[in-house]
Amino acid sequence: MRKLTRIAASAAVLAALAAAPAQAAGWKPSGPITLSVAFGAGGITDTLARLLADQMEKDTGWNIVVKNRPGGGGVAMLSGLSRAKPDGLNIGIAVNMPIVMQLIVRPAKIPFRIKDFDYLGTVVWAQLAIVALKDAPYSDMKGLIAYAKKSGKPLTVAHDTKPQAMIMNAIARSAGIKAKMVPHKSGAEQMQSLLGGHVDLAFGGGAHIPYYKAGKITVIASVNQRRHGYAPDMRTLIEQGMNYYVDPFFYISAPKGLKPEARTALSNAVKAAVNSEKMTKFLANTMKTAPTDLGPADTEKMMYGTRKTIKILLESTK
Amino acid sequence: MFDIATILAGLGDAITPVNILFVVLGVAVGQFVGAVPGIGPVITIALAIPFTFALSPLSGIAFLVGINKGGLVGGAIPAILINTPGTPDAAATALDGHPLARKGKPLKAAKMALYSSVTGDTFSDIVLITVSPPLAVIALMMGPIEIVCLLIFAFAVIAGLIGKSLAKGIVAAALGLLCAAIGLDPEHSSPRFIFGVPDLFDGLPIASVAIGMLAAAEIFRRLAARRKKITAAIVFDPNQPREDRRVSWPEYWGCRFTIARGAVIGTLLGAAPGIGSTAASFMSYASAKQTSREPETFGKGNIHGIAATESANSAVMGANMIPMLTLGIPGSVSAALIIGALIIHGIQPGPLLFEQQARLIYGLFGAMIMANFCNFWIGLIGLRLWAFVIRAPESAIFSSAIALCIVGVYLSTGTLFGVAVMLVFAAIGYAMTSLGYSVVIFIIAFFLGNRFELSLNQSLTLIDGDFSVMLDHPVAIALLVLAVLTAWWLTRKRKPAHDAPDRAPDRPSD
Repeated sequence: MRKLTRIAASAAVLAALAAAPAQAAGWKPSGPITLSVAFGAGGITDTLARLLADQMEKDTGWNIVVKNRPGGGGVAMLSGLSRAKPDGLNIGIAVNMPIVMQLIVRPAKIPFRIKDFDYLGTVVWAQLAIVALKDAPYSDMKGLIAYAKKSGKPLTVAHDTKPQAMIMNAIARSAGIKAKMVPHKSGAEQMQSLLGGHVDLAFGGGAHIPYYKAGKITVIASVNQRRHGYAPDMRTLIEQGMNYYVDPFFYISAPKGLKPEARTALSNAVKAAVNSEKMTKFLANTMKTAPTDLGPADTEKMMYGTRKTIKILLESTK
Repeated sequence: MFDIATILAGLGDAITPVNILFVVLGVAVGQFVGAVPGIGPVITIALAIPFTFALSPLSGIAFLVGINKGGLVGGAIPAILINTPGTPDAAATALDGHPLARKGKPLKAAKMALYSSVTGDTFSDIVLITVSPPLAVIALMMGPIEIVCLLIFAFAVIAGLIGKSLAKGIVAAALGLLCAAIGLDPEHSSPRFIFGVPDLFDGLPIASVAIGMLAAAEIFRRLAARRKKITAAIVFDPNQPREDRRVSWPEYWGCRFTIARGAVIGTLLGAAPGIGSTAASFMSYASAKQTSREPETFGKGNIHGIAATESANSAVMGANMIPMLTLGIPGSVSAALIIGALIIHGIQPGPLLFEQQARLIYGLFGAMIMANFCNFWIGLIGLRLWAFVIRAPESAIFSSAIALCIVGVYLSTGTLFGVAVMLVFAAIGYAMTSLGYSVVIFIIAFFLGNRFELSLNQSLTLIDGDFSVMLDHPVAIALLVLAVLTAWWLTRKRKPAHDAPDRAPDRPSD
């Protein structure tokens, strides 16, 4: 998957360079496009959506309205999106992990499937880290587990999506320590709880980076397959001997059944906006990473690949 | 901490013709949308963010902050004039504002609201500018356990508003919490009470419930109570003596403690994110009523009631910026939107903000103070316009207001489903008011319900059956003790006031 991503990323850059002037040649939206956001206002997904919409408007002259539809880690937004008309006027931005998780854990309650959407592209993959306060008596997983065993007290862990909780539970179980999972609504709230000393560990999906740079927190592990650009010395969970990872992608989809020319026009517009100078600069400044548009076909593959990853994770926490 | 040159340069940046223009524009737009039932500053900020991309960061953010501040002042105007709060924050302002307006003194009521709002806002801005970093500690201190206890304390204080019947108050609160439980649960994201309607995954849209119960229900009630003769919404003599049209200095000065208390309550609740300005204004109102020498005049047009609510809800705004700028934690939806705008403009809120962008932040502070002045002057000018509008026949005012409610709810929820929910809750609100159940209690319970559930859930996980954990949380214990004391004190005080005609806050006012 890593190789695939890299190839896709370089292809994306090339395609963006070539495709930018030829935008939307055959298709024009018949009205304003609504870009629904799977999370509330102010978070990273929301910010990405607003940047994307702004850039797409500039590139294409289309009118794009950003709308927040938070709830269920994106289930609420995608439920609405799956029922919208496939006229190219309704697209949505969500994160693969929580969606696929819900689809696997309670399929009967979810009114859509992966196949109910046309995939347009991705914006970036999120760097997810397990973080602790700087003065915590541990700085990696080994130290953390040793500390937990010695103190005998359960670790309190803030999280804001189900896969985060599962990874921590899997680690706790295999290491023979106890962990209490404390649900939160956003990365910013997790940081609030961590900095206030209300929890021992938190998951950072970007909100933690300014605190890391300010020297207030330490990164215990990268939860991705790769290390993070802002903290290249911090090893991944896999490198620390725990074979768990997630690769959360911010992806754009539309209800299934787009006309081919609409799909092409939209995915080209997404691609150009994702690789724009503004987005690149923003991602470099905030998430310390580069834009990654997989393109329509590989985004769909990525969704099915995520299903596989999560099934493995579920098996190991059973 | 910083050299004075940076601060002065920042403040100097704020005072450019372009920035002044955008602050004035923002405040004017904010006051207008705040005053029009149903639209409100939140949706306006969301719509305005893309327009700020073309501006410099400072002008853009100043514009958004102007809308936010203007909206808080504007929301009080319909609350006072026609008893339909333009924003939920202003719901408490209607309690005394509207009775005073019905006594033929709408301008006095609106001016008192304006003055206390600007005072409260300025107070919390000064707190923000001077002691922001130390106050950021409040947000960090407030962990899940503390938040639960703070909410319990807030509920106890607001219980002072319950009115005559304790049972009916509890029923209203329980209904509010029940409605807040609709949607996905915070821990496992399993759907509750959605009856197969996917639109309810997100829970009931807040704008629909608030506008339906507070504004639309009141409009229906007024239309239903209308006799054949069409009158103006508010009858007042345009040539009334000057003292009925203005707030004199002694009157304002007489409210100084009420305003100061409101400003402090608003600032503290604003610095601890998640409680919000609606609860702050009701807490301030309840404490003003409890400490007043003549509590029986509250609800009948006491200017202290207006001063208490408006100073508190406006003070929340400035203080909200403390956790927002220093920690990147939004205290309200509009703060969350402004964070998004800051990030888009390349400004990352958080611990490094004051070091990296000090000049810009002081520019923003300058713009905030400017916005307060604009609020004052534009408010005074705007009042003339609203006082003119309000003399139109009721039939014209209420029919346009209901149209605006529908448009506003459609704008903010984006679906006709939102409008349907608004109409359902207008009916529920009408029924509750007619039967003497407090709509206000319902709304507060509904607003705080989700936060309460999440924090309770987190706290129970942390405590895990071992209540000795509580000993590590002295703030939480102090808040619980305060809550118990308040509840005890309020029930004791209730008795002597019993024979006085205790008007439920949202009972028909005529």
